Amino acid sequence: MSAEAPGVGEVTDSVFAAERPAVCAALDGFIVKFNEVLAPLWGVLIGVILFNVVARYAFSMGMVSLEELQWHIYSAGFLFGLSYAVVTDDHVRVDVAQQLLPRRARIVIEIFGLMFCLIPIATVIFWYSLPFVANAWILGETSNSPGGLPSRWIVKGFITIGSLMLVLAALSRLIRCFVAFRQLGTRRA
Amino acid sequence: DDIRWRIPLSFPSELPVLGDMAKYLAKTVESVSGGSIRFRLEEPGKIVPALGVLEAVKAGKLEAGYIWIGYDTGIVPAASIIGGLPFGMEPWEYDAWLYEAGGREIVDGIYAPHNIKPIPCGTVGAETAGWFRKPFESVDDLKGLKIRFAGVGGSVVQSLGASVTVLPGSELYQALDKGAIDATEFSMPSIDDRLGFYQIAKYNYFPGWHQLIAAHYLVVNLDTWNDLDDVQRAQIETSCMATNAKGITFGEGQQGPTLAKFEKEGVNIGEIPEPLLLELREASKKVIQEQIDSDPGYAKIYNSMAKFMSQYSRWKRLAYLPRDFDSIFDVLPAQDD
Amino acid sequence: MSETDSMAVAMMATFILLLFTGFPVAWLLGGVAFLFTILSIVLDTYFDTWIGVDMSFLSLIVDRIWGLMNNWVMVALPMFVFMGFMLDRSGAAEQLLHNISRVFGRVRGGMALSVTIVGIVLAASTGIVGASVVLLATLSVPTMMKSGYDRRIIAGTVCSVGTLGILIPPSIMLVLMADQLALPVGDLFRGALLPGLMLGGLYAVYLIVTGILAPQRYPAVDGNDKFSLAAALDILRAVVPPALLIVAVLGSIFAGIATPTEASGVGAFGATVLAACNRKLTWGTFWSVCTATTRMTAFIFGVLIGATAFSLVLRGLGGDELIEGLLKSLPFEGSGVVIAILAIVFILGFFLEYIEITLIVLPLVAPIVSDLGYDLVWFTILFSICLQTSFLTPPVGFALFYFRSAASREFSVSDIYRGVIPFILMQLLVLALAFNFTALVL
Ligand code: NA
Ligand code: NA
Repeated sequence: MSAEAPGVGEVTDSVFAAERPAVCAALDGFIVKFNEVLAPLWGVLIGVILFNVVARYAFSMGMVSLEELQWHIYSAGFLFGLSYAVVTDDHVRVDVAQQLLPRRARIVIEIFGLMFCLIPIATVIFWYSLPFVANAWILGETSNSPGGLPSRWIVKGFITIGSLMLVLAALSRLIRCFVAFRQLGTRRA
Repeated sequence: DDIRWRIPLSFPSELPVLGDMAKYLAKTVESVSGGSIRFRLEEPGKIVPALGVLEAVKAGKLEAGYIWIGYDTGIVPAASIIGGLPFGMEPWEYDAWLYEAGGREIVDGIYAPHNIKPIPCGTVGAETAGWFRKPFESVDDLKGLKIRFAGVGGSVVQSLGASVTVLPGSELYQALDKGAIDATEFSMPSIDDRLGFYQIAKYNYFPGWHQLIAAHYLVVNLDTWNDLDDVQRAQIETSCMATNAKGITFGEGQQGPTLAKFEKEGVNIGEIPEPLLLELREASKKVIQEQIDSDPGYAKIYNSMAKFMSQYSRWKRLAYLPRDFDSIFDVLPAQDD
Repeated sequence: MSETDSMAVAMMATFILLLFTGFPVAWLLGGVAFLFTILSIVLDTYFDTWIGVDMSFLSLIVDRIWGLMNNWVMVALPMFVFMGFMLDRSGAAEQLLHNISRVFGRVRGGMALSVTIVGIVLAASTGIVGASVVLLATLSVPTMMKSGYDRRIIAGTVCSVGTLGILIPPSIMLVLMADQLALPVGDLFRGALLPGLMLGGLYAVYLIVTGILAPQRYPAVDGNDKFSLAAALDILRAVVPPALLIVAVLGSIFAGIATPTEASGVGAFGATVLAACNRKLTWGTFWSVCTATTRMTAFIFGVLIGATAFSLVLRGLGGDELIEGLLKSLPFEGSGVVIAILAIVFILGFFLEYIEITLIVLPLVAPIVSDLGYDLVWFTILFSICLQTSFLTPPVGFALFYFRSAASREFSVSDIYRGVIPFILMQLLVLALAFNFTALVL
């Protein structure tokens, strides 16, 4: 089920409850920690918006740089969060039919999905973000607006970091699926 | 080989003038090539974001795109002067500079390191100087004014104390209607007409000091361009040259009726008084000087333009009637057939 | 059918089939886009076709993500999410329900009525369906069960009222739609307000009327707290602050004083201040609201990114023209086409969530409707009303899922399914009204 209300219910993993191998624990731990440390950025975003509102309405000052800072923060939040939501299994599933399947089949589906859907698309994003960021770096690309922020490569680099973390989260999950699948096999034998 | 290119646009094809040119270009290139070259116009955002066209073409993700060249100042700082300059050239002056005074070579040279072949493909005329909810008569009226203003003109009004934001076109009507902004510039009257500003901001000013032209280019990936054969290159160049001519006729042809409509809708069509224009020009001078100092490409273009204009302006003054001198049509108006 | 047309059809069919594997929708969308790019490359290379979708075309997804990033309107989305979680975690919402049910508690069907009123207030202050349904269910179901309410009434009321937030502004669904169609967010908010409130009002009327007609399903509760001045003050204290917040946020958007992004930031701040006033703002609460915001924002943007890849490749295969051609070839007049689209959306809503439908279907059909000469704001609101039912229609109805996970196990699937039927019918009624009387929207 989707975690549209994360924290309200328990995080239920739709595929397995097996404990994590050390690699996965390290990867997942890093991703979770990374996002948890950055989570209060939403508070910073509120602050920036408030500052902008006050500057605009009380002092008739429009600051393009601060308006740009808003979407820089929001971009970091959602791009890094993508991997977090993989670890916590928050990404929306249509699991009506899945629930009728045996666990073995569900694990196989997960393995195929990770190998042929998530990992490829995340890798494509990661791979093609590299020249995108490199170009911004080489050109010293800045904002198009007067008074905007410089150093576009930083915010463009969020795509690279976010997609790399997504690949890592997917790999970790893939390993866990293989482990769970093997455990299932041995138990049956 | 036949050519089938997706051509992303930086503005909706539904807009008058700009969209008219894009459609004309696609139609013309197809007919002059006997159908062997086809451009499929892609609305902004459908394939690539409106302001990301140049970057995608540069990276070779798309063969070509059709844009106002002045957007990508973050990548090509000189883009702002190539796209249109405050107190700058008029359309035919710009075209004369491009084709007869070495302009194209310089522009080509600036875009070559970006792996782009820029083909001039629609120089349209002046924009309005903006839509205001209150009269705009002095520099003081700009102080604290919340205005949407893109390009170099934006830097200029900002330097005069305005609070400048760059909202997307689709948000302008509501923002203006509800006072989130006090004024906005966007484009030529017939284009602004489509966006409905005349319903809510009753003061519309001229001349379009901030941009007397808007230069649209077909930007082609340079590798792709070099792979074409001579015939194909000629077909594309010719189609763009034709679009350029049509750009002038679309732009100039549509504005008269639109202005008449605005007047009927109760819009005050005002002229910016000369002292104010002088102040705006002074501020522009400072901003442009800063940009000349900070980017060699910008400086090169500015100097080339300035050299051309120093000779041209003599011809212009001598040969044409003074701006406010009535032509024959003013003194001998149309009569019933 | 040309080869690209068959590819486009195959792509959509593959996606719908794979959906039922239960793999996350976001990555299925992206994965199908990837697989069909590979397929096009193979066909173009070895089978001499001209499809023209290759890796460099797919790589445009990076440019599109970049476009998503520097979209300042979308900044409002995580801010409205934050605001919702803050009101939820700070106990402001709970207090609201508690106090309002003290007013209506002793009326016949009063508890259900209170749930409806609180649902509307929650809807207008946030719009997180999951949070609203879970909150309303955990707080009201035990009491209503004890008082002997009909199970179907309980399930139907909580599920339907909890989904109002997706329609009544501020609504993240409307923010998404505005972005997809380049419409002003404020116009959509204004357009959705009346239909949303009508829907809430209709629920209340339904509960009152059936309470009169079928009193055995709605017991009157013997309240043991007497109505006193102190109680009245408590109620005011619980109701006034959130009400002020709603007025401030929606009011500033409608009056155009603030852009939606500014209003969302101010709203998030206001909710935090409210929590502080309730002495519920600890570092732990704040931090848990922040991480919850990250998680929810991430899964919405996961689908957004997947959908942006999917629609890129589908467009590359000419899928948009195909669908446009199909819809235009329907044997209907203008309004018939709109009705057909809404019917398709209603049916899709049984299986898909609003996010997917908004991101994939809406951009495809909007130009067609606009070409027919209809107002896009009006159409988008109809589309939204239709999508709201997707939360309630089985088998994939998220409100039903949340309800089942939050309410006790005494509810059978049939209780829930049958319970929401009258509410779905009411939604269709409002849809029909908005269709016929454009003034309700514009
Ligand atoms: Na809402
Ligand atoms: Na559904």
